[in-house]
Amino acid sequence: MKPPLRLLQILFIAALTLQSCAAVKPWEKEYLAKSSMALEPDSLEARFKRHVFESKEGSSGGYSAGGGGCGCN
Amino acid sequence: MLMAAASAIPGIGSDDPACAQNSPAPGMLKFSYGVYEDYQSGGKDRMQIKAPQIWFRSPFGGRSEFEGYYVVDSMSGASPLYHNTLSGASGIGVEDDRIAADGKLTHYFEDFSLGLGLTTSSEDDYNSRGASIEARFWSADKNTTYTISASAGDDDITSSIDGSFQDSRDVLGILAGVTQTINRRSLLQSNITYTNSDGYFSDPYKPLDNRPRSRDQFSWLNRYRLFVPSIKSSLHADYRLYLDSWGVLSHMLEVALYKTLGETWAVRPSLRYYTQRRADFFSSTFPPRTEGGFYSADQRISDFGSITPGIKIVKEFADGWLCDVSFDFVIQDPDLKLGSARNSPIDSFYARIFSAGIAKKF
Repeated sequence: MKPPLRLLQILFIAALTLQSCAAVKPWEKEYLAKSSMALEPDSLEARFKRHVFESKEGSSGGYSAGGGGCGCN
Repeated sequence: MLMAAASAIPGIGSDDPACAQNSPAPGMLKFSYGVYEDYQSGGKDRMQIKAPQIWFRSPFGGRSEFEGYYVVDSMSGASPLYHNTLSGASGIGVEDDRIAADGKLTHYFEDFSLGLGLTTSSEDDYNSRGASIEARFWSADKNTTYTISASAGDDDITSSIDGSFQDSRDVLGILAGVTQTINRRSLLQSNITYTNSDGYFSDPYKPLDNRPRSRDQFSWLNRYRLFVPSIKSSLHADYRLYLDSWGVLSHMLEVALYKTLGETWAVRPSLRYYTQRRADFFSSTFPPRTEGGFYSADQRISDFGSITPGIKIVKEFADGWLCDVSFDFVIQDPDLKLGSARNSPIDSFYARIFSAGIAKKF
């Protein structure tokens, strides 16, 4: 991995972790509870696009431990 | 009470609220129709896929949840024998249907949940079966959730043009992840997955294609969500690092902005960038300049980068009904790769992805 890419990755993670992880109380989670804040607001769209990209690219993974294969890759 | 408040907030219909990982999520039924078309430089059409899909999730018994998925991919078009030609046995075009389904049952206890999943996929020359188990643990304040899961799969591979060909592949995978609430407006999920696969990987329709019979894959996915009250929008930023034993290395970065418009509309522009280093045995020339006797000219494991802009519009109706349409355009080209593509002769590749759906919350 080239140094500039490694640096970008470190900065990305550091920028996020620099924000202190506050102990958010249940009554303070109104923003987090919004549907648009879901990790995957639309499972069907996410699955379809993931299938498209995984069958047209050489990489996959990160979203689940595994899943059904196909003859597309 | 919190989930009732969330469902009353107008916005994009969700089937995975960020706060619902420690209790059954609300029920939902969704149908969508996806269309995929790709072509290469010069407008040479290649592949078209039409995919009606259905997904549903239903809580039951107070502490359990079932999730199911079913899709029929109808594929037609020409699959290139080499990376930029339409020739050989595939030149007259192929038609194939893929049927896939999976189901997952999750039970929520006080401090953790357990889930069991099954998956199957079937097409003319490929059949796949798999099972998975998942455990989630959360902190007392429910701001931190840990996920551990494992899966196993078994694939059977045949050939539509050679009835004597038959082979198989076994897949084992694990995932470890954490989802952390950072503050009132943001959260981060970080997952690491490892997959070990053994068996047949080559393309039975490409006589010279010869790939290793094992593949170890590693992924590190990070998903960040931030709500910006001043513009009533949610920012999504996903980054994934991938590398495997074939030498493929990739970075994926996708950003999206979920913006509510009025009480019942929402729009989501998105942009995805992907860059990939080729597999060690990839060669765009023949005879191949590779070592170990392995060789593939498959464009999908070559050097390239891609940019995918997209847009999605959602309309929410009364009684929990939702409709949405989305469109993405993929531009894949060696010159888009981060770093040098070393004068790759591979043609540019384009794809259009269209999806329309309707959903009902219950």
